[in-house]
Amino acid sequence: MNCDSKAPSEKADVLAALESILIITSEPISHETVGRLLGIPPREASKALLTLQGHYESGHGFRLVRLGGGWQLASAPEQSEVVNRFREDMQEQPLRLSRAALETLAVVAYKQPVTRGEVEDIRGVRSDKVMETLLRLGLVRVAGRRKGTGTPLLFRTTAHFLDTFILDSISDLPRLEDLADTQDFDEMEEGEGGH
Amino acid sequence: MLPSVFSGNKITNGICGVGFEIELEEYTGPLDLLCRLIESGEMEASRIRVSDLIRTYSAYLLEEKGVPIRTISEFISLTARLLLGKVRGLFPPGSATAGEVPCPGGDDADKALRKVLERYRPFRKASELLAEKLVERQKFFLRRMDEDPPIYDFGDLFSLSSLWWELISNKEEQTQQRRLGPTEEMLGFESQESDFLQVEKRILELEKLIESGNSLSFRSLLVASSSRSSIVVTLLALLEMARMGRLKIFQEERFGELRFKSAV
Repeated sequence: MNCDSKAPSEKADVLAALESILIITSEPISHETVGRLLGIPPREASKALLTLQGHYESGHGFRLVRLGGGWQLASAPEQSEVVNRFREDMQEQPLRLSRAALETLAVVAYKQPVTRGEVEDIRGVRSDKVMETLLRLGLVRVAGRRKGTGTPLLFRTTAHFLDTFILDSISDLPRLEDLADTQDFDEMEEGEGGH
Repeated sequence: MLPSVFSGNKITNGICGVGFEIELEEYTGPLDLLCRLIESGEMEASRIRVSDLIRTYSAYLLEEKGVPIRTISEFISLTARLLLGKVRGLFPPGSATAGEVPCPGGDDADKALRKVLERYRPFRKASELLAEKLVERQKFFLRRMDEDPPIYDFGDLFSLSSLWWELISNKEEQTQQRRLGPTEEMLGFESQESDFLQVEKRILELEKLIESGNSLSFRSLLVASSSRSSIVVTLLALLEMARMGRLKIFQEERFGELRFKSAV
């Protein structure tokens, strides 16, 4: 799509055009797409998005958030109560995930593509029901089969997962090594040694 | 995995009634429970009473009909190690005799358990992080997305299998319709009439076509037939008419086309 002839040139025009795109999109839009649509370099588009994000930071009922590899308008966190009431009126239930589901998701997110057996091996507990729930909720998906005995199904997280946990991409998650903490074990061993 | 004998309040209360099955919201599994006990400093093997342990386990065995042999062996191994630890605790340190048999796999098992927990704990922390993110995410709302049709992604077996099931379902529906009988599109020779009646009906139609002395080619009759069954009915009708002497079959030249005309 060539939009150069009708591309907004002034900064105010760019921001206005950007607002128009953001107000109608129902999924995250990347700065590259914005740049292409507005006929401006991606870097300029990125700057414009950041400017808008700053503009909506206070005094507005919505925010410009970055998630799922793009940008999208969202209601302001301060308004969550009233929006929740509205959703209840509309009979929309907020997503509730058990700790087991979150733990399974964490394993899938870090180890993907991963089989259910591998998830169970790490968690030390059966995870078939949890995995079914996550599949039903669209947070994980089947992504092929592992070659080898039994050719088990492989699972991956979905774009909906990124959206649900405000992640731009999987790499936004902290590194697994950074989450490792053996302090308690060391303390336990010391305690046992002295006993 | 013997939480019922620990002094943790939630664990004790939650376990007593249901044996060894842990279905608590507070704990996602045995490793989670173990981590919690370690972190809270509640796990002290020396305070565990073996008699309590066996009593609880016996109750569990009675309640559960099909306990895997692996679980039982793990229990026996753990109890034996616990007893050994208690016996050793009665003696001053370093009093082991030369002939004493070392605890089979004792240190190795501990190391293996530690390894398992070390591998598990980062994921546990990650799940806590996800829980925080979920709470944060639920404070704002995005424009609601419409339900998209399934898109086939490379390696997306779920979408592929969904498409297959849809195709199979459509095929089964068509087969079912054929079994149930003709639809409006299938009216004519493929009605629920018996084969005999269909042939009779076709004979009358063919007689009308050739009553004026015109001859008909076999090819034209086949082309006019809409389905395989109507061709069969036409062929049967022609043979029947020939048998009754009401039809004359001829060829204008050798290996020429078969033609029919009234013999009456």
